Amino acid sequence: MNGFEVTRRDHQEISTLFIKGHLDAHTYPRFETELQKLIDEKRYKIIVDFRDLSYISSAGLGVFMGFIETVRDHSGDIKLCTMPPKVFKVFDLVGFPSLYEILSDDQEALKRFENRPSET
Amino acid sequence: MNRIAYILVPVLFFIGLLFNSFAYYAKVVFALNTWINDLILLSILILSLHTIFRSARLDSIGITQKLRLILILILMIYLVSLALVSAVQPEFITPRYAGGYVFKPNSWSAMVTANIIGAVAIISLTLCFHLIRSLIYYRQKKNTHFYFLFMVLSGAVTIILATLSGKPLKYDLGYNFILTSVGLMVTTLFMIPNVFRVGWVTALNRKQKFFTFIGGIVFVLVAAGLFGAEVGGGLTYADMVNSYSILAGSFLMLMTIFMLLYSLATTINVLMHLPTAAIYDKKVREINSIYSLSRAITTVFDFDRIARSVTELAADATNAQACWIDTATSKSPALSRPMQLSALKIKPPLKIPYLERKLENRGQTESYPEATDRDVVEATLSAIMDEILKNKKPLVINQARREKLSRHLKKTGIESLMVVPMLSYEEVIGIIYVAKAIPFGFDQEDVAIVSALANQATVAIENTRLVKESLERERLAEELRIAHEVQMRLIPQTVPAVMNAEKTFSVGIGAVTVPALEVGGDYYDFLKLPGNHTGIVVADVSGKGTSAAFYMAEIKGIIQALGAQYTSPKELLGAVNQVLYHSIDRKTFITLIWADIDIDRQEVRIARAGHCPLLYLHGNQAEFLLSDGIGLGLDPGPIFRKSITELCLPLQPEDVFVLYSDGLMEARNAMGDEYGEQRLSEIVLRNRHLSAESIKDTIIADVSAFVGTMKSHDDLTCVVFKVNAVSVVNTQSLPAATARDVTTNPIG
Repeated sequence: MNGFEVTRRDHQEISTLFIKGHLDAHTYPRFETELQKLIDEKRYKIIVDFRDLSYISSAGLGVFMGFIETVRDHSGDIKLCTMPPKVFKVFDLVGFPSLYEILSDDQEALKRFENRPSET
Repeated sequence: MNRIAYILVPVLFFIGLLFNSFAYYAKVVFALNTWINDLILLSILILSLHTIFRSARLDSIGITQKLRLILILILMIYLVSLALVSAVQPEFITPRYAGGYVFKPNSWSAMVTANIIGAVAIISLTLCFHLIRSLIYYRQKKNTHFYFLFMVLSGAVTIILATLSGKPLKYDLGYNFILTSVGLMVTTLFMIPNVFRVGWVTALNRKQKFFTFIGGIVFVLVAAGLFGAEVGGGLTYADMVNSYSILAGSFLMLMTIFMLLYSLATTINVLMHLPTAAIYDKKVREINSIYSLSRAITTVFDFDRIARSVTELAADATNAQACWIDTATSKSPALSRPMQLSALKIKPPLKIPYLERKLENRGQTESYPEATDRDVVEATLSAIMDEILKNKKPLVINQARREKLSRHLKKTGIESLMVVPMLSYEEVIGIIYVAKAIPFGFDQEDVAIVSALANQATVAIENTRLVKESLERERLAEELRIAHEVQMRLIPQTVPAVMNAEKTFSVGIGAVTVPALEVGGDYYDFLKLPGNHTGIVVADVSGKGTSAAFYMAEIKGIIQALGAQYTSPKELLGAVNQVLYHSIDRKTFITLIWADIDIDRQEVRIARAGHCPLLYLHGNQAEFLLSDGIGLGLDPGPIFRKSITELCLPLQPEDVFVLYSDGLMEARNAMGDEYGEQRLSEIVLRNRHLSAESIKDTIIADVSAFVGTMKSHDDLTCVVFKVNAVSVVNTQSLPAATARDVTTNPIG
């Protein structure tokens, strides 16, 4: 079984989740819990950094869908960044680029949030 | 043999009596009549010994019954003799002809009395002797048999000596009696090791020991009476029997001495056992309860029955008035709380109405009675439970009223309480409570025994749980098997015939889906559409297993319903998405590829919703075609519709199209490499001359070979269709399989 890890870093009202390893049907609940925690803390500006992710399955993609509505309803967003080409291919195939902002690195993602300050 | 003895013994006695009467009245005195009498008696003795020692029925009765029988027999001898003597008032003399040592009856009635008493003695004592022998042989040791044999042999020799010499047995080393006295003393000596064989006393419980003691004293007194007391007219009992026959008298004498000694030894032994009898009984109870429980758990798989027998056994083993068990509820086997009362055994003076109510209401929703009833008892018990859950160690409260934790138990009558956890892998899976109405009711041994019971019960409960779980697993496996079958029915059983109106041009199809688990989220289907169109769909629900299987069934329904209504693939997918978006879990989405084959116009229109690209083989060229389009269920409408683009390809003979799910791309070998597009296009290129069905088979075979022993982790679906020009006979692409595809009955 391949491992999966999530680490979180908060920067003001923006939280970045660094995900590592395999995100699949076995590991996605852990990622889900982390995201749920952010929602519970009312932190809706979320960046997910994929730099250490080696694999994502369709169940892993589903996690983002589960939260995006809530997050956007609260004027937040989930931005995805630093995707390895292989992971990006999966996202691209399913058509995520038209639903999510996918950025080249976390600094850029942070900037995107800062340029459009929260309306709350 | 037995039946003969039953008739023969009385007959012999009667003959003896007749003979003696004759001798008495005839006043014939000669040595021969004594011999004849003794001979008759000897045969009676041997016959009774033989019959009784052969009796299996006597051996099978229990120790206490044997003891009771022995006491009754000896009392019978005594009472019959007393009654007879006091009724008849027999007279005896010591005639000179008998050497002055032996009494002789002085009347016919005296003679008859002596005869009857002798007969009763011989029969009863033989029986007694046999019973005592079986007691001596209880837990026989190596030498037991020899000691017994020596005693019997020496006794027999002594009796023969006495009979031959015509002198009764007595302890008298005077000139006249020296020989028989020595025999008597030697026999008495040989009795000693036999007399101490009283091991059966340990098998008795306290009550039985007590009664054995009382009976033993009575027996000693009676035996002493038979040995020495005067019966009447200055005669002892032995004197009277001796007057009948020296042989019978000697037998009686030896038996009396032996029984006297044996009863003395028994009585003293029981007396010494009495003080420890209670403790001994407890030990026996402990061993028995562990034994019964371990026997019960191997056969009983009923949780409540185990709990009930544990309460019974724990209460029995510790002599407690109340015992109850809390067990972890099935929902939280590794509980912290809540626990459920599983069994309760309680008798006066203890009263715990709270627990009785709880047991009655078990299984129902916890209905709390009036606030006043949710009293200190409940609070106390729950505090004790917390203590056990925390420490996971047995707790003994020997002065319940004085200890802070338990002082509120006053009104239940509990004075001492022992609480023992049932531990399974350091988890408390149950708690056994044992309570007594007296303080200092429990010692370390009680803790040990209840802990042992707790361990056994834990094993039993674990067993029950495992059995239940395996049954449940079996049931689930069966359900999944059915689900698998149902799902396989959702997938087309045949491929449709696709042929143009002129029958010059056809498309052969091969398709397969392999779920990773029993049920999966992959789906393919064929639809006959208006205008000789054929729809081919391959879809993949995100995630896998049961939920994916349900959505797979749903997407089939939607496609079947909408497929014929839209001529444009783009519009069809838009409509499908709209229906699906509102009935699908937000985390789930479906990728799909739709191919609309217009065989008459020889073209195919393809739309893709987030699905894997299409592999298109034209000539020697393999190409993965990726039109735009996002997955179904991701967006409510506008973005989805905008994203979809259509692909229109001409259908030319020998063109091969492969639609597949990501399970094919991501099939992994032991090294973790994925199968990938490269391998797929190579295998299809290499086998492009085969029929669609065979190409599909070679793909699956190639993937299987690639994966090897690795377990597939995703559903895998592959649909191949290939264009055939039927009129062109000399192309190598018309093997039997294609022909079969064409002739297959259309579906749906």
